[in-house]
This record gives sequence, structure tokens and C-alpha cells, in this order.
Amino acid sequence: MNRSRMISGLCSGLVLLYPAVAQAHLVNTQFGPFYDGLCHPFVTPTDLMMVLALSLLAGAAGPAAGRTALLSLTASWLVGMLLGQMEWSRPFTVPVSVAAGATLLVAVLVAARLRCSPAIIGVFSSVIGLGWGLTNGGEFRALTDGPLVLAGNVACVFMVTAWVTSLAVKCSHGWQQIVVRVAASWLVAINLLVLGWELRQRLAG
Amino acid sequence: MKTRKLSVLIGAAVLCLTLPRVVLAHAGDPTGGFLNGFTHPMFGPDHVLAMVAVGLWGAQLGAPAIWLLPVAFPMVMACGGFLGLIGVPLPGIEFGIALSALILGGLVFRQVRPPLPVALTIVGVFAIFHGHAHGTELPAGDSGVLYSIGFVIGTGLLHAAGILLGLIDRWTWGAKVIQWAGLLIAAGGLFFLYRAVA
Repeated sequence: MNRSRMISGLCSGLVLLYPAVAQAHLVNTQFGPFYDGLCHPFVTPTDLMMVLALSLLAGAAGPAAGRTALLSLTASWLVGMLLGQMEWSRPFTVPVSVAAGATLLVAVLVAARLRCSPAIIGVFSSVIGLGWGLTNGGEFRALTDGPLVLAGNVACVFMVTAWVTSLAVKCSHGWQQIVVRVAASWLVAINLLVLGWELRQRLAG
Repeated sequence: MKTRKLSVLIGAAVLCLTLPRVVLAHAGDPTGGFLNGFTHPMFGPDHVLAMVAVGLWGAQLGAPAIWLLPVAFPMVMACGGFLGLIGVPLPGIEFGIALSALILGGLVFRQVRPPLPVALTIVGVFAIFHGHAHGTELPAGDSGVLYSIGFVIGTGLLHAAGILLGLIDRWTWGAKVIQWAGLLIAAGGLFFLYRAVA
């Protein structure tokens, strides 16, 4: 792909992704339900941080783990969303404290430079994908354009995971590895503070 | 190689631009939550001095401290923030923060190069005080998630600024400039220490 084509493609993506006003559950991009679903993780920090942390962990563990995470996370996210959309399924939401705790755990592994086998990454990705997918599927249940929103949401998870995992695989030496670990340490810090914030609310209420 | 760098840069720019101008989430004013968190470490001169000093000292110490200190500091600081958020009291917060600027500035000025575990312990102890202060000062009604994101990014950028400034340490004149910057930070720390005690 030549450079001008790549730049024009990315600029088009930029225009399509840029929301004027974002609203939680569900973001309205004015571009239709697919793009609403696509943008949803970007305005749901707990979702985005989990995907980022897991992608960094998988990428730091090597290409095989990266491929496992990409496939298992996307597939389980999709399955979770489909289950969440079913009429008979009970509404399920991953609590913020659990989401923060899980992200914290995964990010600690990256920051501490602990490598996981592809099998462990696969288990992590499947469990997390299922939980987060169920949550998102339940939130989108009432929407008439549910399938398109769902497709956009899964596409976003796939793209972010593919992009971050491949970057983390490439960043395996020298200062690039430091960047990955610093990013993970930021995720640890953020989620530890979120846990404290949640705990404070429970203690107060 | 060049194309790859360009694509990474553009990709990062795209991700940044996807951040919405207005975000309406579940509680409080989340936009204010992010901005409050981001600006909180920036608008506290005592915090700024210590954060920049950590970066400068890391640059002076060289690898692996140059990256280990900024990796360790946010995590330990978040532990302090966690304690502050759940209401665990820590005596002498303002004193500890002022002392951090004084000590870290002094270490930079004197170009002290202790073993890595000692350097990490010094930075870690002070990080607890900074984190605790931030944790207890979280404004009511703000979104905890966005506040935390803004706060950690703001703190990390201050470290990065310190490290970037500290890169001039490789030149003789640069090493002198950093030493004098350390002295200024220590003087600032002394001023805040006086205010904390008075």
C-alpha cells in the first residue's frame, strides 16, 4: 500500500470515528448503528482499558499468544453479546470494581514482565470476552438495530486488539518494551484508584 | 520503516481524536472528572516539583532507573491514593510532600547515585504521600474512572517532562543545568516545608 493511499484511508477513518457528542449507552455518532457500536468502547473506559491491558499482555507474550488473544477475545465477546441479547437471558453487568480488579491483575502481569503461555492467555481472553460481551449485549438489547450495533462493537474490539497486540509484539526490545511497561503501570495505577473510589462509595453508602 | 512510524503516529492521532468533546456517562460530570484529574497534579506546584525531580533523577541515574522509577512511581502513588480514598489517615501529608521536593531536589543537585533498591525506596515512600493527598482531594460528584485516567496521565506527563529535561545530562553543560535545577527544586521544597510547618 503506498503512503498517500494509507494516509487518505486513515484520514477517512478519522472523520468517521470522530464523534461530535458522545453519550454513554449508546453513543450517537450520526453515522448509524454500526458506527455507534464501533465507538462504544472508546467512551466506555472500563471496556477499553480491559482490551488494552489484555492486548499488551498477549503481545508481550509473543505472536502465538497475540493470535490466541485476538481470536478468543473477539469470539467470546461476540458469543457473550449474542447471549446477552437473548430474551431469556438474565441482565448481567460486570461491576466496575470487578472490571477494575481484572484489568489491574492483567496490567500488573505486563508491568512485572511476567510472560503467560498462549493457553493461559486464551483462558483469560475467553472469560473476559464472555463477561464483557454479556454486559454489552444486555445494554444493547432494547435497541431495534441491535445486530448492527453488535457488529460494530465486535469490530472495534477486534481492531483495537489486533492493533495493540501487534504493536506490543513489535515492541519487544529496548526502549519500546519500556513504553509497553510504562503503559501497563499507568493502567495499574488507574485501576487501583478506581477500586479505591468504588470502595469509598461503598463505605460512605 | 518510515512508513511504519508514520502509520503508528497517524494511528495514535486517530485514537486521540476519537476522544469525544462531550461525554455524558452515568454519574456527575465526567468531562470535569477527566479535566480535574489531569490538571490536579499540574496545578499543585509542590507536586510538580517532586514529579519533575523524579524524572530528572531517573535521567541522572541512567538505565535501568530512568524507566524503572517512572514505572514504579505511578503504581506506588496509586497505593497511596487508594489509602486516601478509603479514608485511611496518613499523618504529615503536606510535610511529606514538601520534604519530597527538598530531598529529591537535593539528590539531583548532589548527583547522588545510590543502589537501585535504595532509589526505588526513596521515590516509593514519597509517592505514597503524593498519592494519598490526591486521593483525599478527589472532588465529590466526579467520575472516579475518568478522574483517575486524567490524574495518572497528568502525573506521567510530568515525569516524562522531567526525563526529557534530564536527557541533557549527557553534556557537561547539561549536567550543570540539571544540578542547578535540582537546587531550585530543593529551594522550592524548603519553601513548602516552611509553609507546612508554619
